Amino acid sequence: MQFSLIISFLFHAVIILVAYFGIPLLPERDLVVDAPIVVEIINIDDVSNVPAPQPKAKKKPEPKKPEPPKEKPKPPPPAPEKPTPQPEPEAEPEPAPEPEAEPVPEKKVEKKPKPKPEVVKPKPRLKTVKVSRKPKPPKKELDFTSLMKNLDLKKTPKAEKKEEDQPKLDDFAKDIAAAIKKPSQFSDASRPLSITEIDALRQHIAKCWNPPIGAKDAENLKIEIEVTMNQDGTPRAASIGSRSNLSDPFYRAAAESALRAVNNRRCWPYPLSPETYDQWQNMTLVFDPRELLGL
Amino acid sequence: MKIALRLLALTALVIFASPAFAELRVDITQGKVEAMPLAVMKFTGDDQQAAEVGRNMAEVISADLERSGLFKPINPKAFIQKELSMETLPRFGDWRILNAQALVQGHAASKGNGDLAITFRLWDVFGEQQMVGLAYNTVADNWRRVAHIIADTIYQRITGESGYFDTRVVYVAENGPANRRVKRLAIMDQDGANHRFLTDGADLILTPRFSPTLQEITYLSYYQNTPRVYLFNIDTGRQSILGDFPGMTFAPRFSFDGKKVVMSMAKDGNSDIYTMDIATRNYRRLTKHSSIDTSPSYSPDGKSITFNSDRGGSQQIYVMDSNGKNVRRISFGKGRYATPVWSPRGDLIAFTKMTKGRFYIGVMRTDGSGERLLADGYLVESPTWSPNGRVMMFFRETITAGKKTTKLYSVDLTGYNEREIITPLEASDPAWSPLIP
Repeated sequence: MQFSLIISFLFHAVIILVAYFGIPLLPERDLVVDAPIVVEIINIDDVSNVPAPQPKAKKKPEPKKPEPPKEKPKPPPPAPEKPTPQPEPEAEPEPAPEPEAEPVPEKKVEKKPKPKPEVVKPKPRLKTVKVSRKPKPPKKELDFTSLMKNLDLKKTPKAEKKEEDQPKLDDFAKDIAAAIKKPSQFSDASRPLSITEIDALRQHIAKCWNPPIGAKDAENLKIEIEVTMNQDGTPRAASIGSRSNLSDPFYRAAAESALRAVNNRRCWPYPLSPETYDQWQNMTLVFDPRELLGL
Repeated sequence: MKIALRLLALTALVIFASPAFAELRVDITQGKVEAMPLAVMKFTGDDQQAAEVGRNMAEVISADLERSGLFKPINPKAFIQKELSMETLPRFGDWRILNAQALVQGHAASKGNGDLAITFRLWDVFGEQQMVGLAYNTVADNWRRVAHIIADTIYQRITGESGYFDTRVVYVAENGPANRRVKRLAIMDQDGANHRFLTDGADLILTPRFSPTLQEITYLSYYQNTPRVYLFNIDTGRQSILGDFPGMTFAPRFSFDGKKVVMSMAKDGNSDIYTMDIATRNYRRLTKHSSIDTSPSYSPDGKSITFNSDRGGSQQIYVMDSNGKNVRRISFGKGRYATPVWSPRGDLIAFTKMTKGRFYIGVMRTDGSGERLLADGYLVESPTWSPNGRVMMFFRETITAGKKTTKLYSVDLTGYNEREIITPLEASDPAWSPLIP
């Protein structure tokens, strides 16, 4: 009797132990898988300042490199890919972000590590673009980091790359922009702007901004420009955010250079989809030359 | 309970409110550094002579701005609006088509007696408003200076930094074979115009330096085969010995207030740094070290001095307080460092670096960080700053087919805008003047 009781206790204990240590492991894995996909990451527009835009542009191509085996199948399967988005819109009604997340992860997590699987909806669109673009982005463009020449660095082939790559980046950005501009059946006005859209906007404006790189303490000349937008993606009004420093000639020059970037009609309209107008109707563009100076 | 409810409500608010209504903020951290396209219209004139001056002035302004590397003047042939009077608004749309971000127009009016009244306006094409409008009265012969002053005004208004076009450069003009080299002191406008020689070449001249406040030069001359530091007043042409020192003095340089000269003096076989008050001619020894201390340069605030010394075993750059205390080494890269020169802006120190058989001109912050090499060559030496600390001039010796040639070059802080300065003879040891008062 006692023996069986002890056995019983032991077995129960084993089960409890297994459950105690084992169960947390199982769901945890799921959670970990879920975590990177959480849609919130995209939603937070400000997040876009995490990595520099250029690196990001690269990151997207990069994750694909590991795939090459898959890439070959890909060109034909643009069709198979599309199914992926379809589950999303269904989930989109947005009551819960998580359901959305789940269908996506399984496919995406395999492809992309963690960094940006989140780019939920626009992705399908972008992907099709990228597939064709792939040959170009591989030539990377990190050299932007410092616009100040240093002969020490020049010995690495960086300096030359800079000029070569610029146009390519432009093309790439243009394509992204074009892809985003296409009204999409999947777009949802209530969703926040996605990171890629912001990236496209950022790159777009960057092309028109002539930053004050040689100025004294240029790294501190962070300028905010408040912009009111028209629905067609053109700025209606733009003003310098903080006017109190305008007596400082360096600040004024930097602020005016930022304002010129916004007022430069050659850069109009901005690559923003009209469906999300209410989100970018008013926005603040923060011109920060720090990274340009390689700081 | 109430508190709990409130907390709950607050949390709910935070959760639901923030993501949806956060205003869109986009960080632009990349830009496209390029020269700013701008249009300089031919200045109009009352009569033929004034129109002639106006045309020349527009050319000088345009050339100044272009040389800075920050502006890209648009070819006047492309202009759509060819005529614009000072009293009417430009047709901004026409200028936007050319992508002109700024527009410069001007007018020269004769006032009889050979004087001119020169007015100019700088327009912001995108913002459709005037950025500057100024008028100058001058004698007609002085038009070139007025053009430089206008270019400075435009430069300052757009970059926030004072300009450097209304300046001069003094340098050592060289000719003749290596064993009988004639070295003369020469001066010219920053753009190479108005060139003239200041000395006849009878004595060897080295290291000319401009006073930051006056049109005065200090330099080293081997007059009667004794190297001494002299002062030379450009306006009067007067030359005087700067003090009678017990030893050989060299590498003189003015303090930024123009009241002192800091230099190196070799005495009893040892070089140290000395400073001298120009008014009283009293001098003071600042370093006492058995090594060679030379090439001193004051910081703009006059509180520190940078110099080079081999006290650490190899030639490196040091900074000390202006009383000679608190000496610290700031250069730690590979190779040897020489001729540190403090930027008039105070934020950087320019230097010459020798490593692996090559010479470089570079800049570093005053604590030695952020070293960047901007120019290189078989021999590059003697960096001198423009008064706004944005551009440097130096000389470069090149050997082609066994023949050495020495020329002046300028390079801006980004390192991408290097230009040769055209001089009638070979040139070395440039020194940039302050803005002409």
